[in-house]
Amino acid sequence: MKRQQSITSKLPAAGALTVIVLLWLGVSEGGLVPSFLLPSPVQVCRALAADAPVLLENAGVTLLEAALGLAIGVAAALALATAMHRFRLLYRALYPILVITQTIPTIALAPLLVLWMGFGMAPKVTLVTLTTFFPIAVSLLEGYASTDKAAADLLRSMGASRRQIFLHLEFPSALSHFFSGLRVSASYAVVGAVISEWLGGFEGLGVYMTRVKKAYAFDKMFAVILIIVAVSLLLMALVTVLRRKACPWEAFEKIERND
Amino acid sequence: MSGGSVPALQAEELSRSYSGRTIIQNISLSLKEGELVCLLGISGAGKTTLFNLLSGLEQPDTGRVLLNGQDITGTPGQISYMLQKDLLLPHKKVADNVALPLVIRGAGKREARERALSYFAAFGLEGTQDKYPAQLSGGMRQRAALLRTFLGSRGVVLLDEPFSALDALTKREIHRWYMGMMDRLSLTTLFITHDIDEAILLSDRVCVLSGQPGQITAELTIQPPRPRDLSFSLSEEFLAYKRQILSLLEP
Repeated sequence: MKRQQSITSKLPAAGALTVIVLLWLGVSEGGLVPSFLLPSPVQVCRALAADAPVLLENAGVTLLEAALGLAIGVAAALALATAMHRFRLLYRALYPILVITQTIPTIALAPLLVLWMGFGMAPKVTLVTLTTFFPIAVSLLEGYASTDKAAADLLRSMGASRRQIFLHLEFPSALSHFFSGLRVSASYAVVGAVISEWLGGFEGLGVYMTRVKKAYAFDKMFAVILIIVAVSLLLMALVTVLRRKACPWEAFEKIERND
Repeated sequence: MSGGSVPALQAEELSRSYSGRTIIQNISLSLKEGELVCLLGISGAGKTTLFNLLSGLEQPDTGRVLLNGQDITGTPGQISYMLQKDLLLPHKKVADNVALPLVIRGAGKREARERALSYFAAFGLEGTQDKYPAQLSGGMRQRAALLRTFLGSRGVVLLDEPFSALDALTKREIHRWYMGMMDRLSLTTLFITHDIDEAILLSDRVCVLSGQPGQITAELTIQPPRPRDLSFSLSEEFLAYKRQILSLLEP
């Protein structure tokens, strides 16, 4: 029943996507735009197939950078947000700085990181960590703050220590928020890795992109964009799977709301 | 400890004020072991404050709280309470929710779960242990919260309008069940409500909490022995009590 519903709810999006691809096909095949400027979907698919081994190899590198950076971002956000939640003074001292750092454009940081760390994987992973850290930290802080105060009082009345209140109440209450932040961060992670690769490196989808750009290979440009989308979706799907495993109760709460 | 002469729960001259405004003044209460006393509270009479003082979440300005003769003023973890909102944690399965007070006190998770499960049948919760609270009906959730309160108690419980969020039929059902249950558990209970019928039906004594600052302005013993039949609530005797309480509540 639920599965059926989720399929029907995705139909409009699938339809819209089909229409867009058909329009693209019409515009490029019909000769409205010259094919060296806008390759047709067929050409893109051919490029995708022809370059598949290279694309996949580079995608692997980018995915590794994104996943590593994301993992470090998550660990850092967990540690800092939890410490900030525990120590009010730390929160007051760091929260404004946290917000300000987010106004620094990622693209502005990337060249600096390359200068400091060279052309290897380090500057890419660092950039991904920097971009993914904030959404997770903020959603965790919000999650901790959203804890039901009456429930916290109830636990205190049972004689619970601060640590017990954190383990039994605050942390699980923050989990849903955490995963929402993680989802956003997962999509940032891939983009962050690609941007970082543009600015110097030896492998990865960003490097591949700069290479095919110089060759004016539009079909390959489109192919690599599709791969980036696929990698981002893969990472986001992974987050969704993790969320279902970690928060099994959410499934029932949604059913209740639908009733 | 629980010898006949020492009250199970005693509040002595409790007063509390916030930023110069006195919320409750000189409240004294004494509950014998196994007694069920209803505190009939008019909203704004300091019910919540009294509650926080008794459960040890807050310190009174003056006065003491004694549990079986032992001073527990301002010490949480002694008296177990339950609110109108069941406050079952949405992320824990029913059995783990109910077992929580035992886990907080240091029991192992499995051992606490087993102890909790041994009461599931008596509380009408069979088969719910591995469900999440969102999967239960309102009446079931209140019963689970009651079981948690009971497991966390050391013989005395505070119930703050535990059934007021339930619809009339569910409430009747749970009253019937509760009266049978109370007798078996022989819990000492302070029951806060604004439902006069509920107060007369369930309690040994009714105390009226009113005024600003809140004080206990009247006290009334309900004679018929517990557990009472639901038909008691339709009797002349019941109506007489109700008339008396209503006149006490008149300003």
